[in-house]
This record gives sequence, structure tokens and C-alpha cells, in this order.
Amino acid sequence: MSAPHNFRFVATDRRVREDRRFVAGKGKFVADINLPNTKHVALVTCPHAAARIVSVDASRALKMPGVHYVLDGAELAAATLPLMTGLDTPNVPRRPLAFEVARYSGEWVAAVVADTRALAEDAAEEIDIEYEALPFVLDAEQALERTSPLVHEAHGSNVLLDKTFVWGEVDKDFAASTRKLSLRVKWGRSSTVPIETFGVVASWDPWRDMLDVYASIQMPRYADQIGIALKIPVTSVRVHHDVDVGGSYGVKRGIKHTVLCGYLSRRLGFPIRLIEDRLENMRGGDAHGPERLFDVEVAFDDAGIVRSMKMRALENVGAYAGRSPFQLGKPIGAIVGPYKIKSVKYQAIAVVTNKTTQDAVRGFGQAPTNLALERVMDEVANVLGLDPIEFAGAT
Amino acid sequence: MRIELDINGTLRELDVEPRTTLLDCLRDQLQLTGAHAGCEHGVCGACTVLFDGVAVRSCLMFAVQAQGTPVRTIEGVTPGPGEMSVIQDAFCETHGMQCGYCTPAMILVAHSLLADNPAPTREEIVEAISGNLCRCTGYAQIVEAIALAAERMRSANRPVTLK
Repeated sequence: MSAPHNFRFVATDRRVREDRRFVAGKGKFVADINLPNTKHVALVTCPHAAARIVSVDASRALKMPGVHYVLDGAELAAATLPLMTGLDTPNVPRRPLAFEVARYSGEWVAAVVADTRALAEDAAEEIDIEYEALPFVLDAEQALERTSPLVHEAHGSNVLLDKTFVWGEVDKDFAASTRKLSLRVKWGRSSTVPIETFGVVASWDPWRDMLDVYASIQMPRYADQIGIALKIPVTSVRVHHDVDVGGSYGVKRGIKHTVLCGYLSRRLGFPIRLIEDRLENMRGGDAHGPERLFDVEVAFDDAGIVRSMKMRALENVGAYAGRSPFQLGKPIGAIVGPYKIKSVKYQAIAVVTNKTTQDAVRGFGQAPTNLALERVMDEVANVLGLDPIEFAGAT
Repeated sequence: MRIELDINGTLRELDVEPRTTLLDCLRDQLQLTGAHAGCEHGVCGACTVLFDGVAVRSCLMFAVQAQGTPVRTIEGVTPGPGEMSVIQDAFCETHGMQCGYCTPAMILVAHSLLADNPAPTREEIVEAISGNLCRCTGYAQIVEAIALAAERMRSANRPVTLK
């Protein structure tokens, strides 16, 4: 490697192409998109942690001036397919609007379409929904117990995923080590909360069989997932990528929002726009980050050689499988981080609870695992009376 | 109801509902979309406009309350098509943004600050933008941009000493 003084930055000071439009207020964010004849969506959300939806009565709302339509979960479920989850859990369907049962406070139950967002919000208050409150579970460890309420009854348990990965001879290395230590580490739920909430405008053209989508989006396979859920070919979904995104940090996924608006635009024949308000964003925007409990056990010797590690990660994914269970698998490529550890057993469990669904906050596969690993290495150093920084470097 | 607003130096006659916020009026009725909705309850500052030169949140006032007071938006401080003010240019120079959503508001706050205080300290800059949230930058390059703009504005038209 060259000496530091031989390094040279490849880049030089330069200006960013996009900045000029942003400083002048000339960005084109999704809320700035104004297609002719656009109608606006407001959402009716569930006030219970878990509830059976007994009835939805929109008759008063539909009589209000400027109100065009009220969509409930039953109509949407009959016309569309559940959203992609990446798991083999057919009895845990995730849909834009709750169907029969709502599973977290803030979950969307009905969508109102009106001439303006204000009118849609007025009408949302006039929709009568009868609920029958159900038992609920919020804690991941409780959700694992046999006596726990089931978030998805047809699934038969609250476990979406339970996989164990083993590298090397864990039992042998544990038996050969003189010292052992175990630690519990919790990574709490958080969100990245972009200043711009998620928003989408969807417009169906029946003469071209084309759904034009403008959204504040950061989502791989976005068009595919919309097309599959709406049962239209992916070639009938045109995503406009000239929309500026007002921050995402992993959470601007918006599949459920887009399927909802795409369906409404096809059903009603005009462009449909849904811009979350902050409350919709934080409760039912499905933009929460991981909530993960780690139980870590390490085997080491007096010299500070960590031979083996057992890690159990229990993820509270919320009411439906967003990207969370999938991302429990991400750390397997870097399970020991920067350290040399001969053998590892990693068990990843994802359970559903009556909390908001998660998305990929800050690429959330790795960071919680790193926290657990670093905490346990610090603890080994503490036990041996070593400086944690020097110990980490040596290991 | 019928109202008359002084927006960026032009009198505009409008029909608004009494409940319409100044923010919604600017965006939906006047197509001045440089003011952004972030939280709609006065926390994030993305909707900032200049109200008689003072930076205020347009989501926390009704359009009708703006009658009789000059309002300036980001569109009003931009000198012309493709042309930037010294402050806007300084934000580009230091890349005082990433996603750009909070940026127009930050620039209006900077305009308000520098109009009264041509040589703000770092603390004064930080205090001025303390009501505006940015989730991308960590603020350092925004503070840098405002300090750079102040320096450039102070240097402009400074007499040159000839040898």
C-alpha cells in the first residue's frame, strides 16, 4: 500500500446538478405533480390494536358534496392480489386496506376519494365502521408463547420465520473454551421520518392500458409488484423517475399506497393522488424500523481469543411481513463483523405482533447485528480487564 | 371568502375557505410549490415563508390572516429564470442539501437572518435555522452555506485599495 502522502483524491470540488432547482423551489416532488382532474384520497384508520371489522357504512359520506367514492377492504381484496412478502406464508396476506380483521392501530380500513384532500378528510370522519375489539399481543417474546393471541389466526402461530445457520463446529469450540459469557441486547423500534411523507399519483389510461405512476419512491421491483397485485402486465405500469424524492432513508416503498391508488384510478377513471399526512405516515405508513432482541453467547479463553458465538435474533416485525423477516437473513454475509471467530450458530426468528409493519429503515439487516456483536465483544474485554478498543483491534 | 394577498410584490385576489392555510393557498391556488408540507403542525419548518421579512410557518396560519402583509416565497427571492441569489448560490457551492426538500425554507431563513445581521456568528446561524429540520445533511454544510453567503455579501462592493 502507498504511503498516505501518495494518495490523491480522484474527485475535485464540483457542483451537484440537482442543487440549482432545489435552491429555487423548482424541485418536482410528488405533491407538486398536478394532473388535470386529479381526485384526492384520505384514509380511515383503525383505532384498535386488533379488531374484527363488522361493517363499513359510508352512506353519509357519499352524500357529501365533492365526494366520489369510498373503498373498503372487501372490494379491494376481491379485485387484487395480496402484496409480495418474499416468504412462504400464504395465510399471512398483506393488503393495502384491512380485510375482515385490522391488526394494528392506524391500519388503513377505508379510502375516501374527493375533489380535494380537505373534503376527503371531512368525509372520512362521517364513515361509520363497527369494530369488534380482539385480543392483541405487542411483545415479541409473548407472541412466541402458546397462549398468545394469534395475529393471523389461519397461520396457526405468530412465527413467520425460524431459521438456524451453523458455520464450523460450535459445540466442540464451546466445550474447548475455558470461559463463556452471555448477553441480551435490544435494538428498539425507530423510524427515519423523511421531511416529505410518502406520496403517489396514479393515473390509468384505458385506451393505452397504461398506469402512469408518479411517486416519492425508493423501491426495487416497484413496477412488477404493482402489476402483480393489480393483475395487470408489468408493461402496463409506467413509473416516472423524474420525481424528486424528499428523503427516504430506506422507507419510501409505497407498494400498498400505489396499489390502492392504481386500483382507484382504474375503477373511477381519473388520476388519484394520495399524499400521506404526518399522522398517516407515522401510524400506517408502514415505515417503522427493526425491533430486534438478541441473545448472544460467546466462548473464549483467558487470552481473549473468541472461539465461537451463538446468536439468537428475535424480530418483532409488526402485523404483516414487510421487508423485515427477509432482512434477518442479510447479516449472514457478515455475521462475525470484522472479527475472527472460528464457529457461529445464528438463529433468526421473525414473529408477527399487533404493531405497525416495518420497512427497510437504513438498510436494516446489518446495523442491529453489529450492535449486538460489538456489545458482546466489549463485554468480553470488560470481563478480561482489557481495553475494549485494543481488544477489538487484536481480535 | 374573497381575500387579497400581497405575494412577492404582486396583489392577488383569491377565493378561499376560511380554514385554508396559507401553505395550501400558496401551493394549490397560486401554484407556488416551493413551500413544502412536512408535518403540517409547525415542527419541521419546510413551509417557511417571509411574512413582512420575518420567517414564519405558512402551515400555522390561515390565508386570510395574511391580508395586508407582504408575503415572500422562495419564488420571490429568486432573481430570475436560471439566476440565483447570493444565498442560493452559496448553498450550491457548499452543497448545503441532499434531497432538497427543506432547502427553500432554509434559504428563506438565511435571507431573514442576513437582512438584519450581515456578520452572524456560527451560534447565530445555528439559532436562526433551529426551527427548520433537515434529515439528510446533519446541518454542517447548511451552516457553511449561510456563513459563505454572509461573507460574499459583505465583500460585495467593498472599495478596492489601489497601490
